[in-house]
Amino acid sequence: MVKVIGMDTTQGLAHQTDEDLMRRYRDTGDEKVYNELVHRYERELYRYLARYTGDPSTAEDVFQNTFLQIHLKRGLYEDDRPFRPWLYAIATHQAVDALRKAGRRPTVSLDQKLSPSQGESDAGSLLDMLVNDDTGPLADLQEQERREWVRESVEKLPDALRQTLILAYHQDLKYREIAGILKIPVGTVKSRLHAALAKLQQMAKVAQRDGKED
Amino acid sequence: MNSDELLDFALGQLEDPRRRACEEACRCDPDLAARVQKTRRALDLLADDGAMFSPPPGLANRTLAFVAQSPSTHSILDYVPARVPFRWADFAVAASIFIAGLLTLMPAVQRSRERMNQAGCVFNLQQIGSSLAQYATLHPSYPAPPSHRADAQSGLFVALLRDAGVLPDVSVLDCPYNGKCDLQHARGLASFEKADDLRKTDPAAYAKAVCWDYGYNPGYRHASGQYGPIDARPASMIPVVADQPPDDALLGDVDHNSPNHYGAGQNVLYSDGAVRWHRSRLVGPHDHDVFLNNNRKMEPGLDERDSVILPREVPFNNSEAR
Repeated sequence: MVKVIGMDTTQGLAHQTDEDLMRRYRDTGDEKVYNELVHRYERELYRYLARYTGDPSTAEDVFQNTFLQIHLKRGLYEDDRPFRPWLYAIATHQAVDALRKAGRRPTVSLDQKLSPSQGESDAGSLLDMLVNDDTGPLADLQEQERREWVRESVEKLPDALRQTLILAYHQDLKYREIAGILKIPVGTVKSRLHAALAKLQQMAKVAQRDGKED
Repeated sequence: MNSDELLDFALGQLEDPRRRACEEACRCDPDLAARVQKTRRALDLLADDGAMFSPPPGLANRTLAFVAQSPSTHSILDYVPARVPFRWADFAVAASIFIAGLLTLMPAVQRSRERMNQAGCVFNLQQIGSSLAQYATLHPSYPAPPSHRADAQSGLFVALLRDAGVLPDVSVLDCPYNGKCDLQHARGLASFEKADDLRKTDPAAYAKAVCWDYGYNPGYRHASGQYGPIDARPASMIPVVADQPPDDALLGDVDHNSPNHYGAGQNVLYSDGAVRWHRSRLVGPHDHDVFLNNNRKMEPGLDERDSVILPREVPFNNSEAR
């Protein structure tokens, strides 16, 4: 068998897809391949976990546990399975477990039914709601003030909506990838995202009205 | 671009060919581009918290060290292949389980079917018994041919019952157990006399019409020396109708039962209207063989206590052996 020279160097590994690396790690247990995966997802996955858990030290613990699970369950990795949704699914489960243990957030079923008030309205009315308001209820706030408001409001969203919003908006994942991570249909991902936005818009209006009344 | 698509485009959710088309549409239509821009701005105002989460220094290295130090707690699942390849051995195991199940189930199904068919045969004989009882209320005895038709075949007791209007449905003449009887021609059976004429003119058509599964007791030799039918006495227990006798080759052997139930035994309709199942041809202490008379011949009985169920093609008063 001819060994391809340079394949094991850091540069060589950097050119390989996540799926190739994971398959290779599963088959050979090569430490260098595992290192490459950890480094490749260090920034992206940490960002997701920090935002989702809302606590840097919890995010760090969950990050480490996620890659420990990847190491332990490498035998279960299936060929041609996209690596990123698999990693995010494991990370999300670990994060939910960590939050549950810490008891900091009420846990909400991923398949919870959303009430109409939570935004099961169609995209047209959501778009109208977002765009037709000339300046937007938040436009008048100072940037720092607005960011603070967003952080607090996103924290208040039900878990299922918050998860979807973070994955779609902040992590730039596609509907289909999110559907794979959360194990729900693509249509549900979309309706959860719309519901999250509608809920935030509703909260913004309430905040604006309360501000004016004060 | 509809609202749904515009929102997905602003959220960066459109897949490649459609995304490029939307970008092109925005280049050509400044109003659309402004609307997209406005939507993005509205989304950013709502969802962008401006937080820049950076991993703490050395997170990756600490993670690698953590994994290296962790005990290798393998579960049984780690050794399970992700996708089990097709193997003939697995197929053979599945097939053998299926066959074993089938073999276990088949006898039970078979027994259930046999019981059902047995019950069907009893029901048929009860129906025939009912017809005979009605016939006996109109006549002094069970069906028997007029003296000038004494050579008519005993199977024509059915035609006599139909002539009397007491057997409307001939389907009761088919024993469901063997499933061999085709009563299509029997349904067109004309009167006793016409049927007997048909026997002489067209034996093949006659054989097709008279094809049922039950034999009849035409009577016995009376004290006068003449053959005559059995009297209709409901209190007595005389076999009147039964499953058809075995074929010629087996008839002489007392161990061979009616072929209707594959040799397991025969149902016998008695003059009291009851139907009894016999595993042998013995039907009474004075009658050792229900299919032969006490002279071991296939002829009417020698006396009142000697009952003989004749095949349908044997004449009522014939003394010739088959």
